[in-house]
Amino acid sequence: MKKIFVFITLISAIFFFSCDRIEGPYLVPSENEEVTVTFPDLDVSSVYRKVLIEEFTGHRCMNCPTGHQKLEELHERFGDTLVAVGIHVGSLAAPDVNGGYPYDFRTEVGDELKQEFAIDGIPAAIINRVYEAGGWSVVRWMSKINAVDRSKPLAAIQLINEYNAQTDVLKANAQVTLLEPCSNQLRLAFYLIEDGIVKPQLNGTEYIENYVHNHVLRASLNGTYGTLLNTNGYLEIEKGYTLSHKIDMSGHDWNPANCTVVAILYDRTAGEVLQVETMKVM
Amino acid sequence: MKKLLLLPVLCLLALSTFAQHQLGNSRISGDFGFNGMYYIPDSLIGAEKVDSKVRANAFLNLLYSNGGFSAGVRYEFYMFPLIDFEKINYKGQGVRYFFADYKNKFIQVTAGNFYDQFGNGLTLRAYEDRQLGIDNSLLGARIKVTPYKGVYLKGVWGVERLNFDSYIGRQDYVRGLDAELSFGEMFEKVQEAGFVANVGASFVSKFEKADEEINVSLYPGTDSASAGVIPLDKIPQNVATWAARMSFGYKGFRLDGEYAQKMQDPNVTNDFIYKKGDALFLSATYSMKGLGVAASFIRADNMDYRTQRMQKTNSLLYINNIPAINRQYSYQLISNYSFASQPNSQIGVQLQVNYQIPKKTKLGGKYGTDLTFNFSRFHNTDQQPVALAVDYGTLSGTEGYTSSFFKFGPDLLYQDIGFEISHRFTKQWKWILAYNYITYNLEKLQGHEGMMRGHLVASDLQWKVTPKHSLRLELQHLYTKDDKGSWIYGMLEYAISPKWFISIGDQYNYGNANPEMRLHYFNIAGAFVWNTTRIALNFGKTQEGILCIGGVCRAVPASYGAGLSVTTSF
Repeated sequence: MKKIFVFITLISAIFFFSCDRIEGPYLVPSENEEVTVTFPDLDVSSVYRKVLIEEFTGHRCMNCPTGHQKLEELHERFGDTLVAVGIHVGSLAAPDVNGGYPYDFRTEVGDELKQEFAIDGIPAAIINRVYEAGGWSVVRWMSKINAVDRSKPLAAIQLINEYNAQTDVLKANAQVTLLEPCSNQLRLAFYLIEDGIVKPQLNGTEYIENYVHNHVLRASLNGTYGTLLNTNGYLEIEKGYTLSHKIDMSGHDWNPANCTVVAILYDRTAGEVLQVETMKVM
Repeated sequence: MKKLLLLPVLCLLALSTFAQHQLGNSRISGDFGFNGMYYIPDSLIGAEKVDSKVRANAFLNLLYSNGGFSAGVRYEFYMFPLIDFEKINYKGQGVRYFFADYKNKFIQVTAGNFYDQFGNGLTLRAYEDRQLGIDNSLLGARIKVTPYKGVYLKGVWGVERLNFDSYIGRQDYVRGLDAELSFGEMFEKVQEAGFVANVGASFVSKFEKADEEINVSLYPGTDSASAGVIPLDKIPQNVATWAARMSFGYKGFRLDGEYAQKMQDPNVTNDFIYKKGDALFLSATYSMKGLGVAASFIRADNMDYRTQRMQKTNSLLYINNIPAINRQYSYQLISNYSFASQPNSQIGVQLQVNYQIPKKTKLGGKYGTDLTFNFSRFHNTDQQPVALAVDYGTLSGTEGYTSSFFKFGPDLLYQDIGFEISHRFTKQWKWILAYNYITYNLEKLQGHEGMMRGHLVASDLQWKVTPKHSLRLELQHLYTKDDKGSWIYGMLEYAISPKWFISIGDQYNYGNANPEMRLHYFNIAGAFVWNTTRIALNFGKTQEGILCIGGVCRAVPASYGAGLSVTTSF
């Protein structure tokens, strides 16, 4: 009997510590910036659903230029309804100074996405973040894009960028309007991508020193999966929700003239991107 | 399609099991249920067009037992469920319930899914209500130990079911301990002296990984509107509740009580506040020949306790249950005004007195007359925002508010004053007459504007025509100027026991302010019972509203059509 009570006391003690005690203050100033721009009235008739393709690639990946070429073809076919983000990940994206690949394209955001979507080989892509583990191989990109239901837009994103050339600070402002009901929590992420980066790339067995890398992911302004648009992330239909975030572009070799903000509205619960929008930084 | 074909296969399996349910010491038992409906659109009542026209819910339970060992499995087919269930996202198919259990006098161990409750459920209640579409079973392990006569210990560890979602990738789970001492069983003299004395305590903790910070709007609606954030390291991942309870009885008197406290649990239902939650439940009953008195009190503040902090869908992922202590009625016309328990803010009382006018007296007649008086009143709790919350213009990310424990808040949620007479005139005739004055806060309980104040008069006349044939006439009138206005209801039921039953009824919203909405909701139903199988058919209209069972409610969409229900057990 005594042993049992000792046992119970010990177990209870373990459970007793199964509780976190948080000391205040609980709130800290948000990295969310105050939205100071005014968005024009939304013309719903001009909104269409855009598709996000996140391409996982690497400068030392011999087959990746095939993916880059495929993306160019897809861009020609789908125009601005297709938004591409090139994410350099994995060992084939790691710098190799001796091998002639000194530049590091990798980002923390990209590494997280690689892990989240279990990307184990490149080139691979995920479409609107509806995917199978490992992502889609190049030959399936077209069919997967076609499989996205674009009969009606689910949401609209209006984007306004404010770039201060003196300070090299970019502030991205977005207004999101849900056009179809969604009962899940939604997050908006601002990614910064850059076109026209001239750096080496392996193509087959060929070393191309002045290869032009496009839509390369540089950073996220507000985390890998973005931030909520209101307190709880549940949005009412046809109501505008605004969000702003800043990024200090100084200290990087990014060319603002070639940079674009990509705003991604993501339903992480359902695992699907509802809408994506782009706007050049300047 | 393959999944659809599984259904009849399972039915056959269920039927074939009739012949083989006893094999030596082994026993296989189970039950099967099918509930389907053919939907007809009706724009007037708001019954939507259902493209597939026919929908159904089906399940099969199989239980194997042999001595102290038992194992069970439930297959559910809700791929194309009744629209009520689709609205609450209870949709899918598969085996979401299975377990193996062994018990002897000392120990019981369960692996797989299980249901359980600690005390009154203030800290933990994993349960199922098929009618409401609730299944909060835990998938994990449970141990029950009885080390000494009258000493009961329980430990649970598991992940809570979330409709038909797979458990893969879940980052939340529940663990708990419960202990109860029954002095009556421990010491025979206590029992012999007519005393009941039990004490118990429970501790439950949930873990949920904090991987998303919480955004907060500060100074909303002002020129200085800005944003704040609750960072990950300020979000408690382990949230505990504890409770202590007692029950004491002597002869006809019984007193039960339980107090629970919840630690810091900022979540979407409490506006992300850090105040501790608490609940107190007290119940006292006294009964003697011809008289029964029952009084209860409940206070619950910030006690919405779920495994996921962002979950706000009604009844999903609740770990605990704050009971609704008001008297539960089956009257059709006030079913839409049933009190739904408010775990985050309710304080109230319930009093019921039953008196039987003795048999063979002038008023009591040959069989006696039962009188029931009932009073219940519930308010929200007193909540005074803390200074920081006033400054920020939001409760979020602060201690929230302070609350005077026994003070009733300003908003009346629900009140019921009722009186009921039940009298048997002869062996054949019985009559129940009831009156209730209901006050129901539509805004707080259903999200509509205003209060509903209504007078309900209900009559239930039963005539046993022959020992096997009986007729029942139910008439109700709800008089109110609020919400949808006044209603009348009539229902005639004829039963040939124990096999046949038929009824016809109609609800008429004659008092609706909009003359075009003065609609009839008729219903014709029949059922046939053969051994343990019941087959029921019904045809009619159901108004949009809520369905509540024990203070837990869900929305019911308007519908029109024919239903078939088959249940069998073996």
